[in-house]
Amino acid sequence: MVYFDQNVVASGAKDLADLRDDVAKAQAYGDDHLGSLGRCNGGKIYEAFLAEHTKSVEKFGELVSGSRTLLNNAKLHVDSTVKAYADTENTNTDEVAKIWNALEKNPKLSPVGPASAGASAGPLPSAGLKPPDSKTDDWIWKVLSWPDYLSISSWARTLLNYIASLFGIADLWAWLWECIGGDFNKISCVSSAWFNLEAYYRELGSELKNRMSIMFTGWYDSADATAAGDYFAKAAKVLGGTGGVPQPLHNLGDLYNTVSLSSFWFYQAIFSAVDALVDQTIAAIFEAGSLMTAIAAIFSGGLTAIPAAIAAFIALMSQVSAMWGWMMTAVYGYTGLIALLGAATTDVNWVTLPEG
Amino acid sequence: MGTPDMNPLAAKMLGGADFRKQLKRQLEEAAAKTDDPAYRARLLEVAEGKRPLRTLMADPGFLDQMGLRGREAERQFDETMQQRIREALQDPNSIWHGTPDEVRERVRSRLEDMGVTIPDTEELKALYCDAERLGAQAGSIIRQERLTGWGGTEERLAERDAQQAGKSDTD
Repeated sequence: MVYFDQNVVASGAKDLADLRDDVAKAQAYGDDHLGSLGRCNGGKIYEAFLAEHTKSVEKFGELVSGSRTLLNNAKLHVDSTVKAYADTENTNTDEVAKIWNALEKNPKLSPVGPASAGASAGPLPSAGLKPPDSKTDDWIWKVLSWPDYLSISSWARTLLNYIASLFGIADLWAWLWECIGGDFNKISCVSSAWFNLEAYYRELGSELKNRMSIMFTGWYDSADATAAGDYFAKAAKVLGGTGGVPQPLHNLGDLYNTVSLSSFWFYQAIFSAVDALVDQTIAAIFEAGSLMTAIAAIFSGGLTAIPAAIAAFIALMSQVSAMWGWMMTAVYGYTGLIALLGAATTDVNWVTLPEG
Repeated sequence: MGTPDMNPLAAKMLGGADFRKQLKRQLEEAAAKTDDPAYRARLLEVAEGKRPLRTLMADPGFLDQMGLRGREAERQFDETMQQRIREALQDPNSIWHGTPDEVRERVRSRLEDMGVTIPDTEELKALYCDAERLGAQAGSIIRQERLTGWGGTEERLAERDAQQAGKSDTD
């Protein structure tokens, strides 16, 4: 005859419901902090990244949904277990064991067993969800708005645009926005959000195990309790352990962190190149003695007139081009990470017991 | 005694310390030539690196000296630039003729022949703090100068314009 305390086990069912509802908070967190990036817009480089970001947010939604279903179905099975024993005075062990034996055992995982005396439930995992922080500031606006002192003397900006037009660029600042525009600093924030969600899932796995072990203080010494214990060991590992959900979330956090830092470095380089152009233009005009003479020199003397300014302009275009190349590499790697997140979701779905 | 305060890479590409000394001399010469005391003082400050070189771009004294002050000058500048660019793009012998990619390649190889190096990412990144400082400083100085009409330079130039307009009326 199995040892079965209905009240304790029913309390475990309630814990599963609480954890299931808590997962909705992770979704809300995702909506706020991952979703915010999806509502931005920017230039080509930024949009390439956003296209992948949108996919990862979708996959995250599937993951959360799968997690919720897992916990809900587990709760329903605990409910059924309680009812089955209540109806048969704790004799229905074979039937109950069949429910819990739905999955193959992992020989390396020990089943969750009864907790030691004095164990208590911890806080729900969402208690640990902090708002994400960003490691970087609004640098893109510095690059795109720094000409505010140039606009006081619009001819300087006009001259730089004329140099740009020699290279097929009609308006330098419009072109810069088209290429590198975007709230890149927000990507750093989202990196932090991914890491916080990684921590959430680790906590979820750990607290699931904790609360279930408390439940098993009311249900042990039987094949079905062991089968259920096997199930929860597996569920906890998939949700929060090594090889489970946390790793792909961590990888995404790393990627976003790298992207935000790299983009910052490119911005510094681009800002500096434009800045060098400004001083070179003034020096060239001063040297020529008049603006008209300087202009004539550009066209008759070609490069020998203002080689430094032209070189700075080429440097600027190279940097933008390099930034594009770097982002394409990042996007390529990104696709692999989304696949990993998808695989983790598949694992979650696989561990989910059939309903009812 | 200092030398002009400007983007270090810009200075380096223009000839480094020699260039700065030459520019300093040119600024001092310009200061000696002008009869506007406020503009003279500013030129000397730029020469000694006490105010960034780029503040000149908004300095009415500089604009006047370079032939860029006023609507008419700006209009002429635009017209000339547009015409020159049109001609260059159409002239098969011009270095600016061709598709943007062709132009870029030709320019790059010509620069190489001339021994002008194009700065790379690391070199540019290293400049960032200087660039930021120069921009912020120049912006703040320009805003302040505008409040006083550049120490009276604007008023003096307006008077001179009025006098010249008066002369041509009586011709």
